[in-house]
Amino acid sequence: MNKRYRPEHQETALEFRDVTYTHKGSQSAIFQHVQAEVKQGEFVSLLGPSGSGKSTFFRLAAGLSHPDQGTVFLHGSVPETRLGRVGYMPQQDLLLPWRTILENGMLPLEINGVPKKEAAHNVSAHLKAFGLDGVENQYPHELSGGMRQRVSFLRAVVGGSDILMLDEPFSALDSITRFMMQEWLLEQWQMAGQTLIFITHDIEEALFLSDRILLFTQPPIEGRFTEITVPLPRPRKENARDHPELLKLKRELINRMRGEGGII
Amino acid sequence: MNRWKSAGTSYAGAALLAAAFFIIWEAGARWYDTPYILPAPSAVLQRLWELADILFLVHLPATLLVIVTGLAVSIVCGVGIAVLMSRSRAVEKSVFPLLITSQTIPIIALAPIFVLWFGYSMWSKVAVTVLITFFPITVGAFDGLRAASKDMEDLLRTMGAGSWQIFRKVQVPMALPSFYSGLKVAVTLSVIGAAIGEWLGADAGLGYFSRRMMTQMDAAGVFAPIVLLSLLGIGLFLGVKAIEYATTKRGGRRS
Ligand SMILES: Nc1ncnc2c1ncn2[C@@H]1O[C@H](COP(=O)(O)OP(=O)(O)OP(=O)(O)O)[C@@H](O)[C@H]1O
Ligand SMILES: [Mg+2]
Repeated sequence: MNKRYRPEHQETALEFRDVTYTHKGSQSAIFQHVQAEVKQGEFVSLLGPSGSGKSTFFRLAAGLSHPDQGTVFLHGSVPETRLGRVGYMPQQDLLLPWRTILENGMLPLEINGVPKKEAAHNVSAHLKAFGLDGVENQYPHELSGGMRQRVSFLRAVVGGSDILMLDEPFSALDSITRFMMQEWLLEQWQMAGQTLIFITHDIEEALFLSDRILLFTQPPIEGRFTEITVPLPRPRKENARDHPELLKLKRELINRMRGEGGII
Repeated sequence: MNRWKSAGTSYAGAALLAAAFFIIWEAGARWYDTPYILPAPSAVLQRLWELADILFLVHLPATLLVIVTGLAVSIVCGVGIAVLMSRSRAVEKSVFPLLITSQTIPIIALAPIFVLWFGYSMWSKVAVTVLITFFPITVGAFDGLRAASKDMEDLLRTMGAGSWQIFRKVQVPMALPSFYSGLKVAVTLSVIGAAIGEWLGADAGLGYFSRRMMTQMDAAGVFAPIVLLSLLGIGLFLGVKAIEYATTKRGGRRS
């Protein structure tokens, strides 16, 4: 049932090699000679306080920003542009209000020149798995927050890249919806097996979902990220939340972040 | 259904007010009984009926042609300038002050100059109409184009979209509501612009006809083309609303 291979045997999907980056007009660097890699099929969370550079990491990976120094590799090589190669799901759903759910899902395909009919067909095939059956002709404002996030995720998946980056996708949801979305996301990922990079402020969310957590501290971040590997087996079910190992890791994480003076 | 009902009651209020106004006017005019100064609404309507042929066949088309041409020029130039300004800060900084300055020019004072330049031809009236309508169109389009969020544009870039695709798929749909607001202001102003132009120098058009009746001390004849001008303005406004309804999707509309 699980198409993924063990991450440790996999190729690198994304690698930051010796990346240094300073925002334009800013004095101090966010990253200095940063080294990080994400394996193919891995679920990696970026956890850290506000302003620690998580979104900046995404912008660099997606090709919206460029490192001052160093290189970003996708699948072991340096593409001409990373734009269009990495699926991105933003914090706000950013659905286009004048487009129906179906048309919103079709957007990345349209941009890549797929004919409308084929694009519609392609998106329709996903609707059921995303729990969006029957709402494809409605407009975003008619949907609940959780549903809109699913549309946003659908849009990222339909784009077809095997690296997906999710920037705090569930932070605006109420806790029940959020729990259900986390489980749903795990299910989707365990079926499709993409590489998932996930930003969150929520320690429990990071622990429950990820294979590995990269800890972001106050910038500048130098060299390697502090890293935590979550030893729970896959596939994880809802009851994994209460696994004693997770509680222990959570305690440890909190202590470590306190030590670093970070506020989550 | 509820909306229809409430629209009905709000329009009923407006109709009631208008009816009261006309009844008082009618009564006042009859009592005053000096039709060359204050014609009764019924007299205006009667005059409209008598003059219908020449008004509808000669002067209304002349004015309509001026308005449509002026609006077309304004839309093409205004949207063009708005697009250029939204693309480049430098263009915005150099053009926007000029736009605002152009609006401080008293148009009535300038109109005779247009007549000097363009003669009694249609183009002097078109020039007045353009001067009065292109500002709301430009500002509406420009504000709309700027309304597209940076985040949305970045999202499209991560999908591999170029700047033309971002323009077409995000900026234009985002700009439409604001553009239509500007256009609605512009169409009502366009009627005034054309009428002013025709007042100052023309050989046809509703404004020109109204003025000619004035020289003949025919007050009802002055009002008759004004009634038509006002109906024309309302018609144009409703026309823009209909186009807006047809071209913006339901989800984009505020309810
Ligand atoms: N365009 C920019 N220009 C200058 N500085 C910026 C810019 N964008 C972000 N920054 C700064 O870079 C730092 C990192 O920002 P970033 O958005 O990556 O943080 P984050 O970890 O995603 O925070 P949050 O959890 O609040 O989203 C912050 O101090 C921020 O002020
Ligand atoms: Mg962020």
